[in-house]
Amino acid sequence: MIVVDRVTKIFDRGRPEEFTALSGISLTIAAGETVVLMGPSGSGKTTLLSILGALCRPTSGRVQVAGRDLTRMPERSLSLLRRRTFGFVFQQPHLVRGLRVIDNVLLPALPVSDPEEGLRERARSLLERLGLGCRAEARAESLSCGEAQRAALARALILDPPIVIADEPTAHLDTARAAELISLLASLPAGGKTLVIASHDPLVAEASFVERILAMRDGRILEAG
Amino acid sequence: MRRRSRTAPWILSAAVAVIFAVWLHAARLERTAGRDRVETLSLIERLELSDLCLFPEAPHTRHPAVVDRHAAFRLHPLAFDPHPTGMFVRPPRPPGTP
Amino acid sequence: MKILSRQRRLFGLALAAILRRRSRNLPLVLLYTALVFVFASVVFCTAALKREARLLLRGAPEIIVQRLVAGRQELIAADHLESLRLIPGVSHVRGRIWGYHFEETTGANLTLVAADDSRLAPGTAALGRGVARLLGADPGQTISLRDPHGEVHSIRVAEVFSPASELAAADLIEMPVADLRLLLGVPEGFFTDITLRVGNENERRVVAAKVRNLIPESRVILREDIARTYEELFDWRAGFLFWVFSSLAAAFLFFAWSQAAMIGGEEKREIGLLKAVGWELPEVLALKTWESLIIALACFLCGTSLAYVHVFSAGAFLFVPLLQGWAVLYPRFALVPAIDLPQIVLLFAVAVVPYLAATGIPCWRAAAAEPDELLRQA
Ligand SMILES: Nc1ncnc2c1ncn2[C@@H]1O[C@H](COP(=O)(O)OP(=O)(O)OP(=O)(O)O)[C@@H](O)[C@H]1O
Ligand SMILES: [Mg+2]
Repeated sequence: MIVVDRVTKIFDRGRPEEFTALSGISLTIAAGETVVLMGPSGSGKTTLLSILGALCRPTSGRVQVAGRDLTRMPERSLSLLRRRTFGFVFQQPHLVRGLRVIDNVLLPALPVSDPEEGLRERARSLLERLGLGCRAEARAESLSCGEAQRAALARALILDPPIVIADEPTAHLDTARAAELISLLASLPAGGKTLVIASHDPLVAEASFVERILAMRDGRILEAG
Repeated sequence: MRRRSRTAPWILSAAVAVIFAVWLHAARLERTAGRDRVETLSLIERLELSDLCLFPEAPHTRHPAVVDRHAAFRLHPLAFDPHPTGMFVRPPRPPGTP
Repeated sequence: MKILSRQRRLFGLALAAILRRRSRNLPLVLLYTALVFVFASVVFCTAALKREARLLLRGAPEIIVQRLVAGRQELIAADHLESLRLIPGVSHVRGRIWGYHFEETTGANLTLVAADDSRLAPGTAALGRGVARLLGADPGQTISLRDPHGEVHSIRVAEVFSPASELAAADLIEMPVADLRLLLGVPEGFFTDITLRVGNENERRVVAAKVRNLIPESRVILREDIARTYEELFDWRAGFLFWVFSSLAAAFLFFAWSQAAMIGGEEKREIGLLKAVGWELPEVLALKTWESLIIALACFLCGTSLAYVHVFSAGAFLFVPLLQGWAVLYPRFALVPAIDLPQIVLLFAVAVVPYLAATGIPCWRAAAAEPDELLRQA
């Protein structure tokens, strides 16, 4: 369960260009729930997801994941949380150039001591399911935007995290690919995963597996649907 | 990760090969040098030589036995260390030479 | 085993990262290699010369006794031989006759020596390689030398010393004692100086003190002193080169630091990504350290191997002029590697450790930022 309690995020605090990206957001996401954040560009979706995913700390407020307060955790525990608890699909794919796709997918697993062969198998089957089976050995920079985004999803899932956070996962995909990706995402809650998606793609919002839609604007949540 | 498991051993073995080649070469040089040294040592002992011929033009270093405390003051002003062989500039020619 | 396989994977990733940033790393690698090359060449060169001096001086007489007059070396009377022989511990006493000869046509200073054994017939001489080269004299030919009275002596070349001996004998002309006395103007009953052999190492200082008592106007030179002079001489010259080198090294470290500090957006995003997918800071730093270490080790290996080739195969042609100074007659000799572990450790400590620090610290500072901030880098 994720509990967000009056979280604000102010960038460049105390400087002339100070900017309040999130102002007092409170929100509870139950385990296994699927939530979609919608809102115009600049409304703070990415910022909120970053705070949820322990990629940055809020300026004030608290975030609890499974009863543990992220805002008070030392950096080391945050790393372990990012590794084992969250699978994050960034707004940009952020694949490492020069590495093969499968190595990119395995990147989060590189420092862990799980059996390598098992991980490799898992990476292959994930890529297969995402329609990238034949591109597994290709260099990351040779992928198209949509392929890269799907590889990024595979990377987020490699360590089988209970919470998947996806920032605009369908942004670069055509309708058919987007539908495939959504169906893949849709299969996740069945595995007991909590899913938090930011998107302004109606396909995502209308998908049957979405349980709750939150509309964001100017760093606030407008309505709970 | 298969790609790097191919590159890494290659690089490592190249490094080991270089080190090994250097080691072999050094060992070979040392062997012949050992023979040369025996010969040179017998010459040194026979002629009672007391130094090496590294700096043949400098009485101070060719025969340290004749170095005196004033040597440092008799040097060329451009000498960069207190031995005349450190000079970048040749000494004046002896009178009468063209 | 797990640690090993993780480090292997990190190594592979670091290698890929270096190859990816080829164009950025190339000037750095070239500069670094060149620097290690210079430094290692100096170390190899001086170490080899020092060892050669140490080994060859083992054959030199333990004690040399010279007579000083008004602070200048003068001929020493042969009478002293007897009294010196009586000093306990002295196994062998010999009067040496030697001197310089300024060869007017070439301007070289040659060294004339004589040996006791009558290997050479009167009127003949054995030449060092360097002299033979300089005068263009082969065995069988004659050379002419001028004595103090201006008379020219024609001397037949009986022998040229082997190339192996060049480090000790390049500028030598060996002659029979009687000929040399004539040529240098050393009268019978006198020697240039006297050498003593003292078998027992511990007795040398005692013997030297006794000689000084016996012949108050003498200067006593111990072999250790000569050996030490050599060591100091090479250290001085190497020190001079190091001084030049250290400023280069400082400039390079500054370059490496600033390059690491100007971590590009891409590199920052990469660090951000690794942190965002759950890498701990030590793991990220381990990766970055591997990158620096691979570069440092590669440059270290290349630089030292090149230096090795330069010093021991190519005759150290870049440094010998500086270490040897100016001369008319250069001995030609090949240096023999005198590489030992402390030397390599020193090279390593000087070449690799500062580089790791110079590149590691900026990286560590960058990696301490939040992943979100790093990922947002343009
Ligand atoms: N590091 C930062 N420094 C200053 N301002 C920032 C920073 N990061 C984000 N912002 C600002 O915060 C606001 C919210 O950004 P955010 O990325 O969360 O929007 P978003 O809803 O994800 O938009 P989009 O749909 O375009 O991705 C934006 O106006 C952005 O300019
Ligand atoms: Mg966004």
